[in-house]
Amino acid sequence: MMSYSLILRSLFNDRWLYSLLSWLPLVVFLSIAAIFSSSFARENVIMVVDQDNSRLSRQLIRSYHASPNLSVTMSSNIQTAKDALVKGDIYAYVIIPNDLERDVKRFRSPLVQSYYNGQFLVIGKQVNAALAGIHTTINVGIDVGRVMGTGNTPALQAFGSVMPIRAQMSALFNSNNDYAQFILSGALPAAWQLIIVLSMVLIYSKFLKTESLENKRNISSILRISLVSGAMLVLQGLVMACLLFVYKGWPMRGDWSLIVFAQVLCVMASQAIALFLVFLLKDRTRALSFAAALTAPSFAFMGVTFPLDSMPTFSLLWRQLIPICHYVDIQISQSNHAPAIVHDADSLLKLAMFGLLFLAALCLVPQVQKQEVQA
Amino acid sequence: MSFWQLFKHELMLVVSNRALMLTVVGGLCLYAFLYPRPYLAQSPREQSIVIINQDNSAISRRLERMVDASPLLEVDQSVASLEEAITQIRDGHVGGLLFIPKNFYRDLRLGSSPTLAFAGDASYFLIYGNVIEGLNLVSNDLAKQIKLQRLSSEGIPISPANDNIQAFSANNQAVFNSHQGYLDYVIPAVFLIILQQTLLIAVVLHSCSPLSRKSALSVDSSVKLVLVRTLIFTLLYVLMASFYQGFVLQHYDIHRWASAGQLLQLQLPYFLAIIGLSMCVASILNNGHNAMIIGLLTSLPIVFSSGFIWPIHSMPTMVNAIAELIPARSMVLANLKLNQQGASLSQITNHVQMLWLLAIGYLILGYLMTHWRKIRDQKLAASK
Repeated sequence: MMSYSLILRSLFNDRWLYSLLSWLPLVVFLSIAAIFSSSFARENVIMVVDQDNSRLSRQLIRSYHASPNLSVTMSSNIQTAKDALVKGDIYAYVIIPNDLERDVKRFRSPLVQSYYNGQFLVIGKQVNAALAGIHTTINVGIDVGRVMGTGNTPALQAFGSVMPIRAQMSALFNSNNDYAQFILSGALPAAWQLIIVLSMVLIYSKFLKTESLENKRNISSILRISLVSGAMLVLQGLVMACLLFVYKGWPMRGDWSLIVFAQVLCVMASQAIALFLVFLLKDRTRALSFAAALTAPSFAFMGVTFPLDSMPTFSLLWRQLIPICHYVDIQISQSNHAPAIVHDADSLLKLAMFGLLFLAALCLVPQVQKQEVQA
Repeated sequence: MSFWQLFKHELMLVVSNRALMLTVVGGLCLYAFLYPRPYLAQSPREQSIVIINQDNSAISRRLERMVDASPLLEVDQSVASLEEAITQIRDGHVGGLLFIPKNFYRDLRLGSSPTLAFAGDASYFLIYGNVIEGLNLVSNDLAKQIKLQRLSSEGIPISPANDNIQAFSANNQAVFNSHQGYLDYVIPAVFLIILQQTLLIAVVLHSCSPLSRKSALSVDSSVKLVLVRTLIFTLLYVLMASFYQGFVLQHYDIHRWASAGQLLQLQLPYFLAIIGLSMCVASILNNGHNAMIIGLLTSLPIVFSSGFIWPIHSMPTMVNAIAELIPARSMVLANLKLNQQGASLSQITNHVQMLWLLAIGYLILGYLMTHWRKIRDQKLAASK
């Protein structure tokens, strides 16, 4: 049986393993976090084609300027605006029609048309929402002025007739609608999943290759190796969670101990996958390939960006095989929704089920030895 | 060895490298199938919401029916209290709620603008967006109906188009990917990044394999070696790219504007740049499999910094400086504009120039480092 100090020493002697287990994860987490460090996509450039040049059109443009989501450029020509949209210089353009002000005065309800880039889905939707909000506000302002202008209607009543229904919107569990909070809650675990499986495939392959002593390959050595490396990987998970919920300060409404427990199970489940692949394929590069095939698209299968209830059955089955998907289910539900443990029992159980795979992988161990003896 | 002899020899090494072929052919085929799977539906299905109706008037019941009829929403069940509704959202049974306050109908008649409360689970942006958008559309519809009723009761003639109930009308139209499909949003960009990452792995796996190292030592000039490898991998990847950008995109019915010839004008500098960069990486690595670690760990930062998810102007300068050096950034932006937005090549010259700049720079650097590595390996071999 290998001693703990021997395991540690040989882990840290390998430059790649040392990096994977120490500083590299932090670099990956921080670089993803840095990309979204502004949290909100502000100052998205739009182009306004003002064909009216009236008091009202200038009021509209001032409102676009005032919106934190928009940054305004002007053009006198629709073709220029079209080209700018195609070239990706702007995310939207607005055409303020000729005679806007005159037509509004004559109750002709002229059309202010805008086009936004739907290919850049997230930014396009934000720009669209900002424009729609501004248009509604200005419309209401004009209408209230009209109603009050017609007689002695008090302001409140005038408002009521223009805007019969008001709406108040609340973004539950992410009250600022912070994009970074939303995307990093899935992106960092996805990166962590890659680090776990890659490290574990390398580690198990390394010890499988260690030739000097037969008994290095026995089961208790494997368990010790899993324990030592697993502890370091869980530590990384804790750093990741601290980055989200302590450093960034996003709310953690649920139970920290449950998060840690889920991380331990997630690391163990990933170890089971790595061990199984290493012993099944007996080739480091091929085991890495298969581990990558399974875990590289994990972000897509998490259901963070695209909802689970809209995914086809195959995707729902495939994600069951990716441990981090179960972990993210638990992390999001604990941090945001803080339900009773019963709610997450299902995901915890699924992670624990990977234990069976670990047992299956251990069954493969004697086969390896037998084959080598024959050889 | 002549150029063509070397070409044949290296090509044999590439084709017989099982790990490499597994990554390139197996990996690319698998991802072409796997990656789009979650998004096949294109748009999220109707989100279920709960309605707390404390008014219970004819009009509030009409509102409920309108919500249920909305293409974005479906009403789960009537829940009596706000607490119950929040619990339902917590447990993930529903995506949001609509709260109709007491005296909604009375306030509406009095003209005192009653307030409807919408709430959605913002843990999931797409769900939240759809819940809020759906409820907004429905409440605007109801508001319009009410205004029309009032106008007609006051005897004001209403134009058939109902357009005089607002000072001006505003219409926001999505162009390119006008149906806002998620597959169309993610797949064209992600495929290009998958091509980059697998090409990096392939070049490094090849360059670092013991047979290739030996072949490199026996070749008289490093220029020839670099040219041969560049040619082999460019041909291989133009083939794989036509599979991705042609067959696979067509299979998923993703709209394409550009012709194969136009795409080739982007693919060429793109693959040259990646091959050059990969040669640099290969010359400092001892084991090819480490390329997989590099390729996988950089994949997420590269996807997020490529500019199609998060606007470039919102990223820190430092991030942008690094991302510009990665071929995928220019390629993704150039391709989305050319192939998804119908731009012409002359409209994206900045990206094309950047790709060629990267290609030339990385190929020169790749040559220098390959040469340096060869000399180092020769010295090592001699000392043995």
